[in-house]
Amino acid sequence: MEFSMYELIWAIINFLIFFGVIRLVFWKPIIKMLEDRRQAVIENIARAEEAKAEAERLRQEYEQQLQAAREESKEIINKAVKMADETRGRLLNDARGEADRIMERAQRSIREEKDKALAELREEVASLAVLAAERVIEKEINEADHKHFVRQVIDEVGEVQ
Amino acid sequence: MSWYELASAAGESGHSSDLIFVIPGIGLEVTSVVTTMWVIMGLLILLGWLTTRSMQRLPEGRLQNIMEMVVEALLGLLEQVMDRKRAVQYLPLLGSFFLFIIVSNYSGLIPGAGEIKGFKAPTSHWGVTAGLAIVVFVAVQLNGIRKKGLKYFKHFAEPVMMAPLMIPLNILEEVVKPFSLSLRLAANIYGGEVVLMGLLMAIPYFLPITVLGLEVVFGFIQAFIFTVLAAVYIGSATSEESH
Repeated sequence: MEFSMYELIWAIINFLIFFGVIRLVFWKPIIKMLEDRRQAVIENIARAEEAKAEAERLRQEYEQQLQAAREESKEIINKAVKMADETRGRLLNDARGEADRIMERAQRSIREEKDKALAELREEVASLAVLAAERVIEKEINEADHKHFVRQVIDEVGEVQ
Repeated sequence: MSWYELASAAGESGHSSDLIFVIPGIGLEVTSVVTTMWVIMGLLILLGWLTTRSMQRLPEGRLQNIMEMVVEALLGLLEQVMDRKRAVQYLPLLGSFFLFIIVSNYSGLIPGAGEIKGFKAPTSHWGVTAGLAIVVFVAVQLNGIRKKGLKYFKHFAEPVMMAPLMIPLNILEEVVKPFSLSLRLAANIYGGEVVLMGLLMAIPYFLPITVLGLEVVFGFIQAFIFTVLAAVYIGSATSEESH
């Protein structure tokens, strides 16, 4: 195996120059690239974790909101049903009262009409009876008898009624 | 005793046989190994530039995908030795070692390597691996000092009870580290090439294929070991806890 001092010196010089150049054209850029990529991957993973946590938080929030909305709607429906029941009861009561009033008014007016009709009828019957009696006993009765008779008829009619 | 003397004492001459030219003035010899180093480094820089020229956050090009895979694998390797922050910090240096060494190792398996003038696997030469190991050594010390200040030198004297004994031992250990690092790499690659060459001369058909396959694995393993050990040295020099 050969040993040359010149080769030793050349090896040192050559390697130092080689190292200086290749460090600039190769190692620095490629290491920077690899480290940048590594950093980017680390950041991306962190960001993804963050986004996942955020999504989970939002999901829970929406879930809660949905639950609250569900409960609220249930409450609203219950309230509406209750209100409708109350309104129905009130309307029913009102209607019943109105019906009673109408009925009462009608009965009163019927009673009044009947009374009036009866009074008119009584008048009419009296006149008719006088007329009839006059026809039956024309001239055979005097004034006094006549009056007595008429009164008797009127009383009888009153009793009949 | 310097490395150079050590190596010379090991029996090899200080001069390379395949001299191509000498840089005038300073007298630096340019050998086949040096030119091959230039080509490999040039190609790697080109590849790196092509990769990052039009990078996308979501890679679509095959080149970017492949290179990202390589970089991620190296980063994963370093993360087993040190924390992620330091792994990213030292990835350029250690990754450059890995890329250069693995391509150098494999360049020796290309037919013609070592025979064509100006083409020789750099990592099969101890001089080259020693140069790389010296860079590792300096990087370890510099980063240790930069991270811990003067406290960095404290570990040379530990355990304190045995400081007079431990200081020379620890310094020796610190020097032995790059020595073994460079010798292991060069010897493995050189040995592999010698075996391959010998086999090719003895039985030129079929059998060398298995050795070639093994050499592909060894080439990777050696680049891997060099990088991991360098990472361990830098990691322990810059770690918070004492060692």
